[in-house]
Order: sequence, then structure tokens, then C-alpha cells
Amino acid sequence: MSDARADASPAGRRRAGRARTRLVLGVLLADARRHRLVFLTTLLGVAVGIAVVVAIRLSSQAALESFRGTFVSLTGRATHQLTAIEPMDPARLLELRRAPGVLAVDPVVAATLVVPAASPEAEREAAHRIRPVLSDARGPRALRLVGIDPFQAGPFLELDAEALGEAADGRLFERMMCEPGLVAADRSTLASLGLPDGGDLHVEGPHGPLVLHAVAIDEPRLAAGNPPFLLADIATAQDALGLGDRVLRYDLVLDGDGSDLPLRKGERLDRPERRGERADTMTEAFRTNLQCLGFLAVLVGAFLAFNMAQFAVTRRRTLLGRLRCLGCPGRDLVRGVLAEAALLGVAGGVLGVAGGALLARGMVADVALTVSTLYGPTDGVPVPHLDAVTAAAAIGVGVLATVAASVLPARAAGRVAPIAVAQGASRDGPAPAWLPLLLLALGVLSLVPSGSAAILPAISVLCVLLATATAMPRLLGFVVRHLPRGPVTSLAAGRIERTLGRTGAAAGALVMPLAMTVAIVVMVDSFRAEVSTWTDAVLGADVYAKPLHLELAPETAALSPELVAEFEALPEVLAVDRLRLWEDPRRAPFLVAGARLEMIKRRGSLRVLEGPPLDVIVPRLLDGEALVSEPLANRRGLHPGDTLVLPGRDGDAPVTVAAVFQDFSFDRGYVLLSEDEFVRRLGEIPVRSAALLLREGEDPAALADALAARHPDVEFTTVARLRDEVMAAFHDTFAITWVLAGISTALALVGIVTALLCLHLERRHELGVLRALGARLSVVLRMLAVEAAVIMGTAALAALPAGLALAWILVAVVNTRSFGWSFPMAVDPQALLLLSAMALGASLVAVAVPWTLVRRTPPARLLETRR
Amino acid sequence: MTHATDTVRPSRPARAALPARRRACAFACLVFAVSFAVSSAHAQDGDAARATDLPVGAATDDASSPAPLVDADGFLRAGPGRPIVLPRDHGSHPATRTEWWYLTGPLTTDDGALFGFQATWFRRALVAEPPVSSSPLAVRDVLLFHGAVIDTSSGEQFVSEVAGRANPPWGAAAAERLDVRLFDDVLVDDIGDGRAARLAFAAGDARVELQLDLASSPVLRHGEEPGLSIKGREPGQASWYYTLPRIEVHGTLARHGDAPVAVHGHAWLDHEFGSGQLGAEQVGWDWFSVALDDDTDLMLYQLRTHDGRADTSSGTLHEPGGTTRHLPAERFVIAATGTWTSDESGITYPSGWTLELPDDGLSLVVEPLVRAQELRMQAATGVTYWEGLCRFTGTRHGDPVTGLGYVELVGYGAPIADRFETRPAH
Repeated sequence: MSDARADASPAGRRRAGRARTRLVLGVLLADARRHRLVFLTTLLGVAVGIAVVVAIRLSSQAALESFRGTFVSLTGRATHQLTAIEPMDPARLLELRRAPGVLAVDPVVAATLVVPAASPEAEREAAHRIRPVLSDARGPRALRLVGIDPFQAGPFLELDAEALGEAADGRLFERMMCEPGLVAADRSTLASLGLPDGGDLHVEGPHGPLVLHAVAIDEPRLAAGNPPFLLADIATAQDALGLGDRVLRYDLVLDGDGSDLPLRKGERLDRPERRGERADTMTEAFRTNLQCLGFLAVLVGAFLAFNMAQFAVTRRRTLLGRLRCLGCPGRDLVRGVLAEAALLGVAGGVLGVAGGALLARGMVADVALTVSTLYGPTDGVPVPHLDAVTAAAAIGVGVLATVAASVLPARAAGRVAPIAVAQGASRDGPAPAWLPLLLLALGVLSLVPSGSAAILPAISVLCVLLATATAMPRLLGFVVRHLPRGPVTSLAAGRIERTLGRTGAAAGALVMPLAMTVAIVVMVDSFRAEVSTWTDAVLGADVYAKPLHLELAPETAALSPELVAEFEALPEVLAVDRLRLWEDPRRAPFLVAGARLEMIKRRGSLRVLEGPPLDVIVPRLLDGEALVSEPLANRRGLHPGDTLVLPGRDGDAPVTVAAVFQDFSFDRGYVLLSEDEFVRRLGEIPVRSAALLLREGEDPAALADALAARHPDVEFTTVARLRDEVMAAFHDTFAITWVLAGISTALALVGIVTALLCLHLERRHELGVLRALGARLSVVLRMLAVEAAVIMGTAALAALPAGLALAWILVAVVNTRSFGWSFPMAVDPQALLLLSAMALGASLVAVAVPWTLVRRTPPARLLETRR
Repeated sequence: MTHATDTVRPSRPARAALPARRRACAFACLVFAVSFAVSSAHAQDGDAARATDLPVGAATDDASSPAPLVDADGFLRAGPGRPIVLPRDHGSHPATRTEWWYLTGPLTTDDGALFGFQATWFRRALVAEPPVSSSPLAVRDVLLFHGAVIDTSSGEQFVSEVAGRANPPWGAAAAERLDVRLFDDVLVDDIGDGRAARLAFAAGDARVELQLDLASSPVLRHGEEPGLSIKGREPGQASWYYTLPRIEVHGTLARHGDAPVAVHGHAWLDHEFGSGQLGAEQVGWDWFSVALDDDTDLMLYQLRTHDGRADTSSGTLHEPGGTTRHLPAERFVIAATGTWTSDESGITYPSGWTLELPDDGLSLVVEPLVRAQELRMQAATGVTYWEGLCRFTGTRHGDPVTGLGYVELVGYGAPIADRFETRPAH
């Protein structure tokens, strides 16, 4: 240090400063080694926080990558796609080729086929579930058959020519064209079906079982689809789907925006969504909400780091004072503390990245299940992969969090006077009062813009959490000041008051997961209650029938007219409601359904949110008006009497909204028409499912079993089972939410235990004095228990209103804006019980360690420990 | 692949979206891996006659004719005893593996501007039997169209290449009558009596629409046995081949999207079908066709071998009086007088020839009107050849003669069979 002082030039001063900082850092690290338990706990807190964020990112990336495959197109170079309600004339190709601005056209026939399950039992098991499932080797698998015209697909295909060139002795496309039923698939896809080198592939088509001959090629792009692709000549696809010479889509490369392309009635020209673009838009709310939960863990970790830094600075006052005595300026102490925090951040970040990669493997199935339930089936359980960007960002977040958390303690360290050598631990104060107020204001302001961006409500949630956490020291001070004063409580209150900054921060770390848990419990309970009553209200039939593979192959799976006629002729059946669905193959903003309205007419199975009574609605529907589900109405601002333009085979045509109804089945929303109106607009689209209304006294379960025995390719479900399935699907949607909330809570508990432990270590000399003055062990233990109870009770007290406020944000803002669903917030006393239980549990855990230490340490030893 | 990227609509800016997007187009090259019907592979397959395998439409209607030659895949190979009968034979012959209709000729505008055109449809059957499928688009035959127009005054060349299946409504090659089409490139006898036809095709930024007066032209049946053109030493290395050498044509030519202008001229129609004509040694050919102003029509070709020798060669001379004479190789001499090297492909072609037919008193000098008439058909076939309008001048029995005709030079860049059989994916 003296050498450094000798050089007075600016460069020399900088060098001297760096040398002093290194010295301070060395001293601090040596101290940390002496208190390695505390240091390791802090490290653990930071690492777990980072691990959670990394795990969320990796697992959601993997799950969404699989989902993104839904929007992958083999003909990805198309600038536009021409589709129509009904299959199109192949002669349309000639017109398109002649049209101005058309540089290339490729006719496409694409649809999903299903490879049946390995066994009838596995098939049934999969079919019982109404929610999309993660397919596994035993269950049925979906495959996307894409038929192209090899002569015209060249400008569109995004496939590796080398892989194609090597396939089938270099004659892949030639063989595809002249060998009906020949398809090409990626080797990995075929291997998962037990055909690594290709072979006969038995699949279910819309008209029954088919045998295709699969050729294995090494082209991962074919496996990137969700479901994976089977590439075929257009004639093979037409044959498999029973389309004759019809074409389902024309892919185009246009010179311009296509506005001058003449369209026939019912045709639509769209720009294809680029890979991932649409998936990212659809899942934005999901991803944001998940990341928000992930950052909860980082916040908890940062609070722990803050807390520990506070403790460290307090504990090191003597050490810091000595350094000041040796001539070390305050700013070097600040730098030293921040450098130590940065090192902690790096170490925590590295550990967090490694832990997160492991954690992601455990979490990915839950995340994929949630994605699958919310957005549609994904093929198999995805595998998360750690990438350098995520790793670097995570370590960056770790450093940022620990350095930011250490700023205030570092400033305190910088202000330590040389005289502190002679002093012990000092009082520390709470955060400035304006900070929680500012955060709260930010949280409220984030809710003001009414757009659908998911990030603003997420920011609001984090602000409310931080506001509550930063308010904890003052709240704790308030509680302590108003505690009924007895000998034990006075002692406990005095101890807390003197360390308000540190105990408050520990309580702040705890309050965040507690509040979030309350919010999630209240939101999920409210949601579940509403879904449950909605399910009871709308499931008006007794037996439901759907094709076995409706979820896997929604465009092609259908109930045959003969089967529906058979249902209608059954003596037990009073009426059959049948549902026809039309959805734009590229996933249009909403779905159009046509039903006979038997359930509504006979059982009143509809919950009208806006509009006239059912007896008025039904005639209007029969006259051609439409029902609009709540998410669609919310998104489009639709109310009864408004009009909505629907696509149709004769072109777009408006429909009047008769009423808005409640629906939780489809977050994009749908329009319900009478069957006649549906057919008039969209044609004879096959019946996707049927609902059987039985006569009085008939047994639904018996009929469902009898029908299932006769029709193995159809799934029959009684209303009771269907209700269970709905609720199970609901539960799956929140699978990952609970995992994350649990991790944050556990992390906070670790934090609070560590904080109390530090507090105990710091002040055990006081306990020794107490014992020496004659205080019985029970008094000391009671004092410790009161201390923990006050901290935990205050955290729980604060968590309740904060949790309710957060629940309101989740229910009224996040759900409505992100998914279009609204439901009343219902506070179940169970939430309060849970909160109390968690606080109690946390208190017990928190007090257990100091108790044990005090019980085992003789008073004399306690007195010895003053530093 | 339709309308090859390098050759079609060159003026459009959005072409940028397409270039180098041909990786997946490689298959079409493979599909057409012998599509000129000149491959050697199937020619070597042996001659196991499987008359029972003959597809419907096999031209074996003459009960007295020898047993038909059928290749290992069940395709009918050209052999003796099958006379060309028109207009029936204008139609497609699905019993054979390959077939082409080749139209070339000069066109003149009212103000005297001279153009040349070429419109060619190749048909290739992938399988002898029609595939079993409920889809009418299941492929048995594929079609390839090459179109070219040359402006002799500016040298501007318009080229296009289209490939597709021969399934209506996208493509067709009708049997028994002249109707071959691939998308909007059409050669059709609407009435079906063989007297007239309509030709419409695009070549790059040019569009040609012509009425063809088929009845105005004589019919040349090539080969020693009229209509059977022997290409190799083995049985079946032959094709059925006839020509309408001077069809009067009139119609319109439009370029660069401008208004069509009236054109007239004459066309040379070659129609040839068979199943594997070239021998293994044969790498390409030089082919000459001209309708001279004294009403003489001449077709000569020489097949070349790996070592540059002229292998099987022959020709047909149609004299003004109406006599048609088969010209065996020894009756004519073809000599190149110069060369031309393509800047695009780097291939050197002969350019300029003398044709000597001493026994027939005919001596001709052949000069290309534009040297750069190379066709780089890379998108679908991956083959590069030279096909161009040439001026033929000389004497017939001492009298000056002249005429416009076409010369085709194939196999100079790479052996045609190698090129087509083994072309790698790019």
C-alpha cells in the first residue's frame, strides 16, 4: 500500500486503488472462509434463484420448440398461401400460374394421420384423456402427411438436397411419384416408430386404416414438425385422404403483396407465418408468466444476498474499522464489498446454470404438459439443451442481483469509521420509506395500459412483490413497537428492533413467495370453482362420442354419417347433438362450430354472459345468428347485436352476434352456429363429435360401454368421466406453477433460517449475558420463539393483503388480457389456512436451529463468543 | 422448377427470392435421368420379349408384324413392321418409354424481322403400368417442355424449361391424336384430323401463339424401313421417327409483355418415340434439318462416340418431286468449319459446317444466324446443348439453293447418357 501511495500520478493512483481493492477483497474472502456456512447459504440462495430461472428458460424453450413445430412448414419459402373452405380444383393451378405477379405455385395436400397405439389398452388409455397428451412410444402417434408436386415444389422446399439425393438410390422423388403410398420421413421419426430403416407404416386415415411405405432419410427438418412430417407425392396424399384430384392449399411465391391476385369465392390468400413467429405470439402470455415466476426465485435469492451482505457488513465492522485504520479509504471498502458480491454472483451463477440444466430435465415434462394442454399436442417429451447465451445471461443475472443487493450494505461498509474497531455490531435501519411506495406506484401504473402485452401485468406483479418486501423492515418495526410488553417479548422486540434492517430483509425474502403462493392459490381456486360450475352447466348430454384420435388429428378425425345415424336410431337415445368444427389449417384466430343445439334446447346447456335468455337465443341461432365465446368477444370487443365476419365457401359474410357465452375450452375463442347455418356457410364438414341425450332412466355408463364394444375406433365418455377429465386437464395447466411457487418458498425458508442463524451467532453473547444474569433456559428459548413468531407472523400478515392484491391482478388482468377468460375472485378460507400453516411451519423451522444451539451451548461458552 | 429460375421472367425483381433454391429440384434431374429417351441403361436391358406385359396402347396392331421388342421394364422398343399411320401416330405412344415432339422454324414479322423458335415436349414413362391409386394425379408419365425464341437481329434469346406430370389438368399427352400439353405450353390438333394444329408456348419473356397448317407439309418417314430410325447395332436401338418438314405457320409473337406482333413462317415437326435408342458408346449427336427454297427437305444426324468418332449416322432427303430417300452414313459428309465457345458454360461447340451429299448433287454451307444459341437447361434436366437457327446455302445439281433450318448439338459438355444418368444433386 505504501508503494502505491508513493506514486501520485493519476495512473499510479488507479493502480494503488486497484491494489487496495484486491487487498480488501482478500481480507473479506478470508473472513468469508471463516464464516463459510453463512457464505455457502448465500451462495446456495443465489444459485437456486438462478437455477430456477435457467430451468424455466430451458424447459419452456424445449417445450415451446416442440410446439413451434406446429407452424413449421416444409414449403417454408412460400410468400403466400391460398386456401379455401373446401378442397380446391387442380385446374386452379393453371389460372394461378397465369396470374400476374405469380412467380411460382405449388399445390399441397397436407393432413395429420395417426399411427395407432401399440396395444388396444394403450389406445384406450390415451383416448380417455380429453386433453392433448405428450405422446410416448406406447400411445398413438400423429404424423403430418405433406403431399407436394415434386416438379413444382423446388422453389418452396427447405430440405437438404444431399439427403434427398442420397435417399432411395437417388431416385426418391421419382419413386414417390410412381409408387403410390411411398413416403419419406426422417430416420429418427421412423426409429421412434420401430422402423429405423423404413418399411410398412400402418396408419389411420380419415377413411380407415392405410399402409404407407416409409423410406428413411437423414433430414432433421422432416422431424422438426409437430407432429413430424411424412413427405409424399401429392397423389399419395390425395389417395390417403380420399380427396380424388382435389388440392388443399396452393403455396405461392408472389412478386408483390398479392392484392391483385384474383380470388375465387371462399378463397383466402395469406402470408404464411414464419417458423416460430405464430407460436411465439400464441404463447407470449404463457412464457411471460412463467418467467415472472422464475424471477420471483431470483428476487428471493437477491434478497437473501442483500440480507447476507448486511449481516456480513455488520459482523465485519471491526475488520472494516481496522482496514480504515490502516489507511484504506471508504470507497475501496465499497469496491471490495461489491467485488465480493460479484464473485458470489459469478459462483452462484455458475452453480445455478449447472443446477438449472439439471432442474430443467425434471421440469420439462410439466412445462410441456402445460403447453400441450393450453395450445395443442406436442410430440413426445422434449429434451432441454443448455446454450451459451442462456448460461452467460444467467451468470450475468446472478452478478447483477448480488451486486445490486450489496450496494446499500457496501455503502454502509464505506461509511464505517476507524473507531468501529472498538465497537461491536451496530443498529441498522430499514430501507427508505419512499422505496415501497415508489414500487407500488409503478405496479399500479403498469396496469393502466389496457393492451394485451403480457409483460406489463408481470411487471406489476413483481413491483407489488418488491414493494411488500421492501416495506417489511418498517412493518416489522411497527409490529415490534406495538407488541404487548412482557419480559420475554420486550427482550425479543429489542433484539429485532436493533437489527431491523437485517431481520426485515429476511422477512422480505419470505413475504414474496408467501404472497405469491396466496395469490396463486386464490386465483387457481377461483378459476377451478368457475370451471367446475361451468362444466356442470354445459355438459348437458349423457354420453359423448368422439373419434379415438380427435386430438391428434383434428382435421381428419370424424364420426361417419352412418355412425351418427346409428346413434339417432338407438332406443335409449332421446336426441343427438352433433358438432362440426372448422378451423383454418394455419390456426385462424378462432374456430367455427356448428351444432344441432339439442343440448341447449333440451337441457339449457349454455351459460350466457351477455345477451337475452336462452328461449330467445335459440330461435335467433336457427335464423342464422351466432353465439360468440367470451375470449373471442373480449378480444374483438363483441357484444350482442354486433356483427362478425366469418369465412365461408361463398366468401366472407357477416353474422350477427346473438349472445356471448362462457367457455373455458378454447382460449382463442369460437363462434357457434346452428348446424344448418354452419353447413350453408362452410359446407358438409364432417361431424367431429356427438353428444347423446338419453331418455329418462337410461344408464349412460351401460350405453357407453355397449357402444365402445361395438365401435373400437370411437371413444365414448359419460358425463361424469368427462367432468373428471376436464378438471384433470385444468390441474395440468398449473402443474409447473406449483413447482415454481414451492421452490421459491423453500428458498425463502432457507433464507429466513440463515438470517435467524446469523442473528443468533451475532448476538449469542447477549444470550450468554442473559443466562449469566439468571435467565432460565426456557426464558431464552421463549424469547427466540417469540422473535421467530414475530418475524414470521408479520411476513404472513403482510403476505395476505399482498397476495390478495396479486390474486386480483392474476384474475382480473392477466387472465382476461392473456386468455380472455373472466371469473369472479373467490377467497377460499383454505388459502388463509395454508398461509397460516406455511408461516407456522416456517417459524418452527426458523426457531429450531437457534434453539438447538442455545440448548447445547453452556452459558459460559456463550459469553466467550464476543468478538 | 416450373419456368426455370435462370431462364424465365428475368426482369422481375422478386426473382431474388428464387435463385439457388434449386437444391430440392435435384430430384427432377433424377426423374429425367434418361428423359430424352436416349439413355443407354435400358437399351442394355436385354430383349426379353414380354408381349403379355404390353401396356394398353402398344402399337402392335399389325398382326403380321414380327413379335414386338419389349425391354426389361415392359416398354416397347422400336422394331420393324410397324408403319407410321397419321393422324393416329401424331398422338402419344404410352407403350414406349420415351417420346418427343420437336418443333423448330423461322418466323418473320411483317416488317421483315427474323426470329427462330423451338418448342419441344418430351414424354417419359416412369412405369409401364399405370399406378394403382384413387388420385388422378398418380404419375405414370412425366413431361418436360423446352421453349426457345431467338431474335436474329439483336441476338436476344428467350428460354424456358418446364417439367411436370402428364396428368390432366396439368399436363397431357393424348394417344391417337395430337394433343400434348404441359400447363400453358400446348401443341394440339383441336379437330383431330391431322390437318391443323395450334401451338402456344412461353419462352422466357416471350410468348408464341401459332396456327400450324399440318396439311401443307409433306411427311418424311425416316429410316431404311420408312418410319424406323436405327440408332445402334443392337435390336431395339432404334426409334419410330417421322417429320413434317415444312408446315406453314402464322400467328403472333409477344416479347417482354409488349403487344403481340404478327409472324409467319414455317415449322419443322419431328415426332419420335421408342425405348432406349442410344448405344453405350454414344455420347451425343449432331442433327441438321432444313427446308430449302427449291422444296428440298433434308435431315441428317450423326451420333458421336466417346472418342469423337461419328458412329451411327443417317439422314433423309425429300426431293422436290416428292421422292423421299433414306441416306445411309456413307452418302453424306458433315464437316465442321469453325467452333464457338460459350461464355456461360465454357463448352466449345462446332459452329459452321459443310454438308456434302455428292450422290445427290447437294452441297451446303451451314452458318448459325446467331452463334450464342446455347440452351442451358439446368433447372430440370441439367443438360446444356446448342440448338439454333442456321442459314443453309449451297447448290443442288449446280443450282443455288438456300434455306433456314435448325441444327442441334448434344453431348459436347458431358456425355448425354452420363449427364442424365448420374447427375448429382446440387
